[in-house]
Amino acid sequence: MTTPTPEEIQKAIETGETTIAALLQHQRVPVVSDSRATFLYHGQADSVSLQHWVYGLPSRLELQRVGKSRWWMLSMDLPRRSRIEYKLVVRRHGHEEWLLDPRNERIAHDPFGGNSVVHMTGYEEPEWSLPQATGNRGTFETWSIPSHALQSDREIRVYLPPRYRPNRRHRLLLLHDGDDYVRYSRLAAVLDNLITRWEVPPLVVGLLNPQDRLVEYGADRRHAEFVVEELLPELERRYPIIREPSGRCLGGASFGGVASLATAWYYPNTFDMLLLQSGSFAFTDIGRHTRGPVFDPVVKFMNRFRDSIGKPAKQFYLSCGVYESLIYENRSLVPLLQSAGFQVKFEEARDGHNWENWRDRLRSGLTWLFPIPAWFYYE
Amino acid sequence: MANLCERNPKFSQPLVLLGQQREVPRLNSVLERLKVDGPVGLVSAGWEEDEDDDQWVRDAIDAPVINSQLYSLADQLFQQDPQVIELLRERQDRLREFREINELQTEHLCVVARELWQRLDVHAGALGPLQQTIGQLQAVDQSYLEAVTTIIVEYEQRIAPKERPSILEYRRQVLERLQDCQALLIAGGHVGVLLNRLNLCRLLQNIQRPIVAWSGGAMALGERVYFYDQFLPHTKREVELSRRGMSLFTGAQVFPRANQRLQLHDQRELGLLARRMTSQCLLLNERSEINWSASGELHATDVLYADDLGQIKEWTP
Repeated sequence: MTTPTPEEIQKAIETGETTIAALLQHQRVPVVSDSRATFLYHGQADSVSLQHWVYGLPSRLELQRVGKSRWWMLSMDLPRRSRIEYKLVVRRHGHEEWLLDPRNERIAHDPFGGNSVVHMTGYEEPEWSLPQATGNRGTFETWSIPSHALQSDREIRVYLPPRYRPNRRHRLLLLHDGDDYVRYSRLAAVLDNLITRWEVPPLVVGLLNPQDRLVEYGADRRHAEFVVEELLPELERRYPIIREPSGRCLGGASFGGVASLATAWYYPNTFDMLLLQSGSFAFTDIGRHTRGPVFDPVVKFMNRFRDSIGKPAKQFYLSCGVYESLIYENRSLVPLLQSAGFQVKFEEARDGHNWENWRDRLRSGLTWLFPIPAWFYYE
Repeated sequence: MANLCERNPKFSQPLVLLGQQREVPRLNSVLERLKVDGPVGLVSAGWEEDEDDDQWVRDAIDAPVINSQLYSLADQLFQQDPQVIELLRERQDRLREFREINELQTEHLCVVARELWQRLDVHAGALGPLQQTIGQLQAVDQSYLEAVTTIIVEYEQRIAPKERPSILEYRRQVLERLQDCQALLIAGGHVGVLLNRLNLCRLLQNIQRPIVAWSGGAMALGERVYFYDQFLPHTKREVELSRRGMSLFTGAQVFPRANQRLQLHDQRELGLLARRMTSQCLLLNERSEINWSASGELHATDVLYADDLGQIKEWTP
């Protein structure tokens, strides 16, 4: 089956409903051909636009009505291997509605609902992130811990891996926004797969969830105190985990990345490894930042950190989407960390600030931070 | 030209080689065909401290399972007689040095072989320089194998197992556990560890039973053990010769989980691998079976092989 060009799609619409229906019958919409994507909407509207989050493009791009038909169309170049999330904004009678693309089955969910997704040529959803019908699975335990530092009780979920052995010491991964990683980045399936394939060792994973996210994760000392002085001892009391920095990794995405870096900076020699995905590492060299008041403590922390880097960890895995506004801040961090003598792995993807981008980088991050000699094992 | 695939004449029992089993085990039907209804011995030493994680095998077959404890009993031996493990560590250090040099040689020759494959028309048979490079790869493999074998033999001489009470006791304990078994099952895991324990115990020399081995277990029973995984992140590694296997069969190099570990869509990679191997390059999946009957008759089902052009074909022995 060949993919129709934008011109062929337009011509089919102009020819009539039967023709365009036949043309699209076995086509995925948006129609992707090499590095060109054609977005389509069919329905009554005054105007239709594409709302996306690709930094560097106007955030809304108008679809054009095809003749006098009810079809709306936008054809645009997008780089190969890109993965783009979007919504359609349909305006009728002065009202605006944000819609998932009704012709597109691909949806990425997130805490705000979900977005439609287009996969450009060369992008493939990683098979290691798909839940397996058979095979060993990890289990979850949930408990709560009173926190003096945060002045409230906190619910913690812990992932216990396949091949979990109470008589053996396991490595620990502590993840900010842990439940979101499970819900939107398929964390459980990713861990199950990587562990059963002997790509990473059987990790115990503590899932942290905030109550006031932008405050707690915004380089807040109280959060760091909770993680290191309250949660870590409790995890060590409950589970057989390695009680050394070399066995501990702290990680998170976006503000969770800031919380990870800040916690490790406030408490040096606690974590040897950091997993930082699209960290909101806003900083200023001069003047004021323009990212809004929630970033004030972040910028303050990042400026201090950049001035006095300390020894927050030994190994840093960083990833960021090139369509994120944060790409500049993340790229800037790499030479800084390298010049301080840390081991750094930085990966970019043609993706945005979203959970599927973070999912797609987990294998690379975890296998780099937790290498095991999979080479020797054959199950 | 690949050698003929044969069972070692010194081993006169049925021998069955399978691909991976854990997800969809077919061990029970194999044992039924072998008419095994009594206890079976399990060697899962390749899984090291997880040796006892064998419930899935017990669930998969009707016959009672006796775990050989080859790994944990060896651990006890090492505690009682630390010199054995000290010498083993010394041996591993020496092997590591050779391995690094071998890696270097192999990597460079593989780069040249790939380049030549691109430049030459392999289908037209204009292959002189490529064959020459493959010949060099094979020579590197051969001399590495000889060096590794020498180090391993020296280790065995140094620990003098026949006169060492701790090792004799280890062998006695394992044999006692397995004496009533009608067949031996050999699981995968860390193939190097599995081979170390099999050799330390001389299990296959001391107990002749029908053998069913899968994945890494099947790899350990061949003439040579090669490690391979072309999909590991962060590392680009060449298929790497490790050491001699137990040589219960010859003329075939088995590659379990081939579709997950080898770039089967890449004819160049597969063609170079097939040319480098001195035996048939057999690709195993979860349905694959190679079996020799007691009389030595060879059958295979769902086994594929890679030819010199990197094409995948059904293998009929």
